[in-house]
Amino acid sequence: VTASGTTGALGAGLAVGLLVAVLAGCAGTAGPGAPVRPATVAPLTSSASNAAASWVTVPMGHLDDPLNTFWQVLVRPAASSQWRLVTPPGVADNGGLVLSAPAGSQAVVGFRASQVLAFSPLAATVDLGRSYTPQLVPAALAAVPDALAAGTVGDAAALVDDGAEVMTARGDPTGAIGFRWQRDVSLSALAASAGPGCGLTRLSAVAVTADATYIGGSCRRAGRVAIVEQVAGGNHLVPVVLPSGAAEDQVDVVRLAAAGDKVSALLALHGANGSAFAAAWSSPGGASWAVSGELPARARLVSTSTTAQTGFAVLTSSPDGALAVAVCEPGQQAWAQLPAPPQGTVAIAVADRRVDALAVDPTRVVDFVLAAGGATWSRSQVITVPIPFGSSQ
Amino acid sequence: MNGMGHGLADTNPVVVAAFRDLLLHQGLVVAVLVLVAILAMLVRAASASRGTPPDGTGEPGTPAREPLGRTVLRISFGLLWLVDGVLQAQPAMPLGLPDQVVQPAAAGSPGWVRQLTEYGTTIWSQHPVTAAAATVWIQLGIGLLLLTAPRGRWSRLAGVTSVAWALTVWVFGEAFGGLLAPGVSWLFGAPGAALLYCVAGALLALPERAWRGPRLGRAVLAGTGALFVVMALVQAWPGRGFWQGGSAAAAPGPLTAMVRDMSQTPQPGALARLLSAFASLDAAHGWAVNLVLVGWLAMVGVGLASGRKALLLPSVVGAGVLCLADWVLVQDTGLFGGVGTDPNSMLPLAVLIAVGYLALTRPPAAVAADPSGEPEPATEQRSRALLGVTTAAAVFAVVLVGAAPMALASRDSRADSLLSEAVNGNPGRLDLPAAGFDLVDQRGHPVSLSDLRGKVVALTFLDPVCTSDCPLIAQQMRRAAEILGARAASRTVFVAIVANPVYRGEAFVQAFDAEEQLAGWANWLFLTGDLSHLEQAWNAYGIQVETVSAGGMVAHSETAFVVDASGHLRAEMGSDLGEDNATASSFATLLADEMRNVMAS
Repeated sequence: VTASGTTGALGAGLAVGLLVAVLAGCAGTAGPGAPVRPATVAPLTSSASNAAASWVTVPMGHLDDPLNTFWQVLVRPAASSQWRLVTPPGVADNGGLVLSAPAGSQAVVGFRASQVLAFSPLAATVDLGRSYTPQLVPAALAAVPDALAAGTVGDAAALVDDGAEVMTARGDPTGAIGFRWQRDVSLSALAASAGPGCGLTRLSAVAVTADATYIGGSCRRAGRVAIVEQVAGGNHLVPVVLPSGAAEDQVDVVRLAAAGDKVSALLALHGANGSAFAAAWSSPGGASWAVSGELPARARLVSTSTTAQTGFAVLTSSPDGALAVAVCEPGQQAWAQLPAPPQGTVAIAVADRRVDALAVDPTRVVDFVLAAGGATWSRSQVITVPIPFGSSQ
Repeated sequence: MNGMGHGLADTNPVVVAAFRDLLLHQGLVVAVLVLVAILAMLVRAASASRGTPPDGTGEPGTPAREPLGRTVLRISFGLLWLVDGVLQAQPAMPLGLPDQVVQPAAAGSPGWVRQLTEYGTTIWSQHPVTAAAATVWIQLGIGLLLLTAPRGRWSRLAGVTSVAWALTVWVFGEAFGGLLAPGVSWLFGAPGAALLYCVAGALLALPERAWRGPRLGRAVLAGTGALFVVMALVQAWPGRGFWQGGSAAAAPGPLTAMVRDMSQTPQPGALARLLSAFASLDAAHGWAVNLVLVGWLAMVGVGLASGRKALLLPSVVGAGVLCLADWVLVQDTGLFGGVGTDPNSMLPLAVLIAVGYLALTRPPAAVAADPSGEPEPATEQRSRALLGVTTAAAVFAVVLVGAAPMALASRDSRADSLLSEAVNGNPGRLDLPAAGFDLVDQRGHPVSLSDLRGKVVALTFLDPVCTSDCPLIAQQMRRAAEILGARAASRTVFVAIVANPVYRGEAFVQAFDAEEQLAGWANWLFLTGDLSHLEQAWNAYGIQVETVSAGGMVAHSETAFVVDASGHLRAEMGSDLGEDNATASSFATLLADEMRNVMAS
């Protein structure tokens, strides 16, 4: 090869490399309508309250070491002032827990798959966690708090395989029969059902009522809310109409909850002026939806809660670490800001007449209570948890 | 118990004992070979004292004496190989070399380099005792061959063997001397000690006529000079941390960090203090230390590469001093810590430079005429040649004592059963009636132990919702079946009994089988039942099952049993898989061995 030949080859190589780089750059650039922002994802740390009880799932142990992070379930019956540790036994829960508390004393806890376990065992209770019936989903639950939804009559839905698919079950979760799961619908099938007007890109939550399964996610198209109602007649997008100020916002469904025949959703709105949260509630049967006012989003979403009134609470943290709690109940336009919770708080539980802030250190849960209308949090209870360090290695 | 991992310490007594035993047994063969070599040498020497000197090469016109540079190179590298061989016999080598030597050497190198080293460490890890012993004999054999075969074909064969083994070590053990890693530095051993052994071997493999005249010496000095210059540039390159030392405000530079680490190695106190002092000096004056180093490397390199006589001697001396200083102050001689594999790169480099200088300045004397003028009788020539061949062949056989088992081991994908014994202890040999059980399999069919009469049963206890060991144990049971082969399939069955008091239903064992792709394995039974029947089985086999609160996995004994075709318990062994693929795979080998023994009896 002559010197000029070498130079020519080098030049050609550089040109090809440049072309490849440019094309790769183009391929990586979002086209019109493509999502260019990360979706808002609810942390697994969460709480759910209903008329009978408040439930909370929190990680404990050494949170920087997945094999020494153990998730716990705590419950406080509405009639009691004390929380109880009711983590279901029999499975290592390092991968996280998801919880669905449809009504009364019922709850179903799902173990997220971790290490070499590839499916998700479940634990169902009808006595506020005093005893559990083992169940399973024959796939891995997604890493969102509403990956599992149990209905009051034994129906259930699960978001599995990193949100790629929805499984549904018919059965008696607390009896001998157990859930009988079937792979129901995939993201791509739901995207087709939701139509190009939405451009469904991801799934993030499921909820179950007596008549329908609701599946939340994100639309590529601005101003569209990705909640698909799945009924016997097929799948269709529910008619959530955002306020005019949010018509150009991109929307993520962060949480979905069902109570009776009503469904509520916690939404994250992403617009030109930043991000905000909003809540939406369906009328009975889901024919129409009401949307709350916006709550400007702070730097980090710490946890989310469904309230006993089927509203939502969000616990957020600003860049300097300051915590803030806001609650929005059905029928309210504005979010109510509560007094800043104590440092270390990871979850909020909003019941009818009191709000709890739960703080954790590696082996203790400390409960702070805010009485109805109160201005200060008071320390109420300390629970020491026997974290089984080293048992998952 | 499940969920309590067990790693193997480098000095695991089971492995160390096996290593010593193997070295002893192979050492007896080596002793015989060495004895033969010594006898042949003595006879040859006695014969030589009656006739002409015995170091003819067989090459026409070659000098009567081996060139001085070649002699120095051969003896120096012969001794280095011997030292390396002795270091390889350290007790921690079988288990320590992959994790403590090879993986750190490959860290930071590109993925394909790490894959190459992983290929080597996988073979080593599966057969650690065989591989470590092989390395001992290969290196001792090369060293002895270099020392005992001064000239001729066997001497050149020693060079070729040296090249082959050094290349193997350079690629699979040293990850190309770290040349492709971002932290490459002459100080830390680049371009790799093994590459220098390789160069030395190549020089020794050259025909002796190549050593005539100054050309070879000039080439060696030019090559080492170029290496010094390139390494000076690399050392001077900004942004690599070598200029920064170790100020309190910032993380220590690579030199300070390396020397501090080395000073923590178990070694004589005086050496540790010397290293600590140098680390402090570099931490305080990193910029000045690197400046001196870069300047020294560059000057020595230019001097060696120039070929000018006036510059050569000072450059050779300067290179020697720098190599010696680095060998002690940075490389910590490479001999300590229990897994030191060689004296590192500086001694071989210094030897190469010295040899280059000798080859350039002290070419061999002219061919001397035989003063007697009478040719040696042909019979004496033949007998002496035969004795020389006997010596060299016996010594070369020492290499084969290591190489042959290693070649066989590298073709065997089964890990040595010794590893599982190191983790779990030796299998207990029993001969008593196995406790019966009445359970149902994953398809809902009732199964009792008596149903399995006529087959050798591998029996263990698994948690179907376990997140760590149980699925892996099931896979190793399947691997054991593969090792036993299709012909044994009709005579064996692999059985697990659920070891979870909560998640014990058929749905869970079916989900486990689906997850582990065991559902289609005809010889696999995952048995469950109501709690009382399960507890009966657990108690009968001494299996402790304990529910752990607050999110913990169910803890249970990790034990496997072999039941013979007549329902007698014949072996009990731990099924802890350890912490790596080699120890896990070793369990399959051990289980298959035990089942094969039971079938044979």
